[in-house]
Amino acid sequence: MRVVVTVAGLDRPGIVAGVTSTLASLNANIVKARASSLLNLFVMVMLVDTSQLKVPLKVLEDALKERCNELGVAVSMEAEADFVKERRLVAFDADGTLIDAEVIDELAKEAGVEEEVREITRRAMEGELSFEESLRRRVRLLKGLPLERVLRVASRVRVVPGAREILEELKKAGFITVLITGGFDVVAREVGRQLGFDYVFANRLVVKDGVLTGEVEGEVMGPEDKLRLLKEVAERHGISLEECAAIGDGANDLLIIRNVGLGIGFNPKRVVREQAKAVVNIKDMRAVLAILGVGRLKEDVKARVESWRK
Amino acid sequence: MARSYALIVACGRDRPGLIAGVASAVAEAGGNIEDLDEVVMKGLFVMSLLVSLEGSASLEELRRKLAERGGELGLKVEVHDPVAEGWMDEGGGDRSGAG
Repeated sequence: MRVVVTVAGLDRPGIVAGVTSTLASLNANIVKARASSLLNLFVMVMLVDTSQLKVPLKVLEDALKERCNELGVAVSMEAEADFVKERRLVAFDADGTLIDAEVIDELAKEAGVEEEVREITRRAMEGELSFEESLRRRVRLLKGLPLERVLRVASRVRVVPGAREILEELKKAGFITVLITGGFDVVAREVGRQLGFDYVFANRLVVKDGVLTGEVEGEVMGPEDKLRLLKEVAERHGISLEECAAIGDGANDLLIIRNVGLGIGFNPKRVVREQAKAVVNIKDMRAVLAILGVGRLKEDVKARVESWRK
Repeated sequence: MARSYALIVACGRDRPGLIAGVASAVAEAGGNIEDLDEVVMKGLFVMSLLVSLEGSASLEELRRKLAERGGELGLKVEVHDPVAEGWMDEGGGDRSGAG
């Protein structure tokens, strides 16, 4: 069996030595490799023969993730057959992924319930509380917060470095872009508009007489709903889930990450780190672009991998 | 201090650990791998590397390290200075290969 390992990060000495020594230590053999720079990041793509591996494939994957975490570089490991598949749609989570903050925590600061909310968030992200339960509990704590102050929070939210570049490149390459978040529409719509997303899905905070009522409008959008909405958008464009990639950080994103062709954990929580095919350990969306293979380097390797398969 | 480059070509019988061995020697000599291309052809390992050297890192030290490591790994390793050979302009010249 062969897998394709992609590594991307800020260029510095020792990345190649660090990653390849982990492969060698488990008897994985690199049969083709190409490294170069892409958007000022160092990117390396390797076709790795795992037939003489001393350990199960999952152990290699975990060892690579751990080493790349130490090196501060992004990594993905895909079966050769998956690597050459085209991706046509990319879904992003908002809070903690595209947005460099948890909006609910920022709203909690405004409402003076920071501690209580942070504790519920932590338990939800680690998978101890259901998403719906945690969301309702947290929004309830925001009851009475004036809309004006919610909008002030929305206006000071920042997107992670590289967010603009990745959206621009994805659109240029013809990808459908989807922002799906369990977070709130006030922020998601603004970010989605600024970055030019094709679709935005988010939970709606109920506002009455200019203040939050502490309720979420209609059904709370949880992990299953996120997956369903993604499927609907994909189907509308004649795209299979296999052809989708998804980027997220928390337990709430796990279902999508496990069901799409390429699930990417972005500075992820433990549960996501363990299960995503790709992990990005730096707060830079350009690394995601490299992992997605939007760029000439991957095309170059892909052409070689394909010619070699014939 | 000016940046210099080394073009490295290594080949020999393939086995796991060759890229790691060469790359760690490069890192120990203070070199940074800018470009890498490796292929295995019928069990033959062939790798080319473009390495940049900055600050106190020297081409001589890189040559010494690679000769030693190449011997241990059973690889033939050539280290060229592309600027001195006239293959590349001072300071890196044309970088259109990147990407």
